[in-house]
Amino acid sequence: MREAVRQESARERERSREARLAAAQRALATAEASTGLRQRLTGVTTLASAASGPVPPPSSTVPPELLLPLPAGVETLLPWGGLRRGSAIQVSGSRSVLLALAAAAANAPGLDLWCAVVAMPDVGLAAAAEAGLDLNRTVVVPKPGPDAPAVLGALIDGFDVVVLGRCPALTDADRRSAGHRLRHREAVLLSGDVWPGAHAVLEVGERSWFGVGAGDGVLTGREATITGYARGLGQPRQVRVRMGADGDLAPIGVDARLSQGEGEIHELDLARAG
Amino acid sequence: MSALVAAPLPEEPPARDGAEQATRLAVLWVPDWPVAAAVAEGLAQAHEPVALHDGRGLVAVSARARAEGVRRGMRRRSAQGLCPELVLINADEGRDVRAFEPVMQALESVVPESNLLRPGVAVLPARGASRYLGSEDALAEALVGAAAESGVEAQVGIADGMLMAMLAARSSEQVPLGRSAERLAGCDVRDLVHVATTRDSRARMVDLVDLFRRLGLVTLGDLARLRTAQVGPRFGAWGLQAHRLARGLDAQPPRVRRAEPDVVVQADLDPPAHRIDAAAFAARRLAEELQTAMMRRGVVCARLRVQARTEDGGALERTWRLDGGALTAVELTDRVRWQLEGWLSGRSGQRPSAPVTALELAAEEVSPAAVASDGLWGRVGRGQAQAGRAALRVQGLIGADAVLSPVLQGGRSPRDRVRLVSWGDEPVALRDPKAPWPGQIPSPLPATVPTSPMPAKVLDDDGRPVTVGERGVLHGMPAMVEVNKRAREVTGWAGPWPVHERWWAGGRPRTYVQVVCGEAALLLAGEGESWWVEGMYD
Repeated sequence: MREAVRQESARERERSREARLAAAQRALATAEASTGLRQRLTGVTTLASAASGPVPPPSSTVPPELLLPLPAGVETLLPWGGLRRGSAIQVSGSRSVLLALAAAAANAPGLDLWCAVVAMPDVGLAAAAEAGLDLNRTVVVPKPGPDAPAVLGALIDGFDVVVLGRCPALTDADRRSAGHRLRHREAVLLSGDVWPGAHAVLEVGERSWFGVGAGDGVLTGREATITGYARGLGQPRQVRVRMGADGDLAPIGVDARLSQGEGEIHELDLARAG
Repeated sequence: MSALVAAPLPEEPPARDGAEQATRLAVLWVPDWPVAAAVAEGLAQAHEPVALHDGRGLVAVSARARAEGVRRGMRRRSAQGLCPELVLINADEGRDVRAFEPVMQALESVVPESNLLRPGVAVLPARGASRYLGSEDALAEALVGAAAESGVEAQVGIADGMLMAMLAARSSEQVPLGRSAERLAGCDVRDLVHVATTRDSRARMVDLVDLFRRLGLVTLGDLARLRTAQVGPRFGAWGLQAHRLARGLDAQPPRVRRAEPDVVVQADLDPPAHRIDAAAFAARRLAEELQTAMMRRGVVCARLRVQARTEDGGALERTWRLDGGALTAVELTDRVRWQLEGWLSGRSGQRPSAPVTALELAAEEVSPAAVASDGLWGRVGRGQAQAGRAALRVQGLIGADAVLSPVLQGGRSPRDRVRLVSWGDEPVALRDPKAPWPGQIPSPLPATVPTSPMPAKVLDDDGRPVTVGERGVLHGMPAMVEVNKRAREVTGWAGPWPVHERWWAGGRPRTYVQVVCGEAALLLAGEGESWWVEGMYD
């Protein structure tokens, strides 16, 4: 009798260990997928999702009052279908996309949202205004200097959208505390530099330019591929957008050149940013 | 930000049988105070002809300059034409208050409750003090003596009601009890302007007086003969106030009971403030808080009391008299900051002996505001209030010049099209953005504009540098661009667009070119052989 009980409890322990292992592996896989680490993405899968018409908005359990609007082209790249208040998003490779995101969020209808642009001394504010950012509701802190952690904290307290550039004075601990503060104040941080612990990473690449010839024409538009990696989005998603002058990112599906790269292994390098 | 725009509607005077008695007031007036303040701070010598200007025109003139024909309100150039040796100094209200503080402290040794009407003018209740000193002559003598001890030549007038006391001070006399109304009857309506306390109320009073004169009301007696019931509907709250003043009464009717409790805000400073900027920072926040509290209750105040406590238990206190009109948060903040400067600059004899630990602002003689122009939740949205507070906090951390607000303006290059001003300054475009600006770099604009010019090399197919010739023509076709020692092949380019701006001010001609190098696109500017990166597209 006692033997049977012992065997039973041993089997139970074995089962629970397996269950724990499986849960841990699942968690690890999710984490890796969300940060994009060692994620092998094939052209086929992304093409399939992009080619089969508009991707249904990802299931969102975020209450709508916590969501800020996103430019049309990148809505499918984030798991919430909008820009979730309290989150930190890293946008690598294109400042135009960063500004377009900030403009869309700060122009949320019916809200008086203010935007702070920090540690970006060389940002083209005329381009930001062109992208739709209302400069009357924008404050610029070009050089926060060694007091950057305190400055960033104060700005998160008062501003709804904080756009951050390269800021070497921030340590990882500062970033974590900024993340807590973001959640508490329900502000949004858009980082143009690497932000470990970002809720989502948008990588902009494969640009092509239109309108410029050989000594004639004028730059009229550009296209770029944006890849989104986010927690809660199993597969990274990719979208090809056309960027107009007015900062909207119109999705145009995938161009032919991309689909030739079928089966190509795309190793993401998180450090390639800025 | 203007929260409350008009003065309270004064109630009907109690009776028409002369039962209402105006307060007996003594006014101490220092002629041309802004000039005296500038001399006191060592900006000019007392014997020189001095004038203060605020960019638009002269705001104050010394007696010596006046003798040369220089007058208030003149343009700077015409004043200099009349008097070439004229010393021109920028007007600074902060300096005026700072320099007046020692005088106020000297006056307090004679009459404990003295109010500041504006720098250069102090108002004191006369009845008690003259009884104590024996006569009104003795009081006037004591006040002039106290001012002289702090190095200022002043005149004192004593009369019933604010306006007569003010005019009496100008002629250094005492108007007997109950004679104010008849003395005022012969005066010009333009004298009403003397009792204004802020620039805003002064401008309103000037407009009103102008209207009176156009309607044929030339003397204060003409105005006083009108019935209150006629004045109210025609000239509004300011007109009623002018009417009361013209009749020799106080601007506000006396109140038997105190209608509203005072509005008080206070803050503890931790760590205690040694320096002006630290204290002024707290004062600014406090002033905004007071303004919000008054706005929420829909009241305006007639006096503002500023009180500071120091670490060793000392207290400094000063009361400002306001003319019943509402003060905007900025005006309120300025007054508190000036007061702190007066105390902390050490010019006054009564310097705080220890760091300031607490500040208190109180709005006294509170009365309901006639018009509250703000919306239910205030015109300032929650976003702006919070953002403003955060921006101020950051300015406190890293300096006022480090927090900027951008404003779009006209210009051709992307760099010229934005102007940055310090947060808190008026964001005004220097050049009209709606003007056509031919030759403007077309959109899309580069999202990165280097803070300092980034040198670049532009080479043609054979590796020779591409140069810009006369009339902005390119010699050679760009084939290679080298920026930061990294060479990139040019896959497409557009331009050249020559721009020759501000040639009358030494501006150099430059030529813009858009260059696409594979994934990157640059906006380059060139002059002769040198090129630099003006913007990076991404």
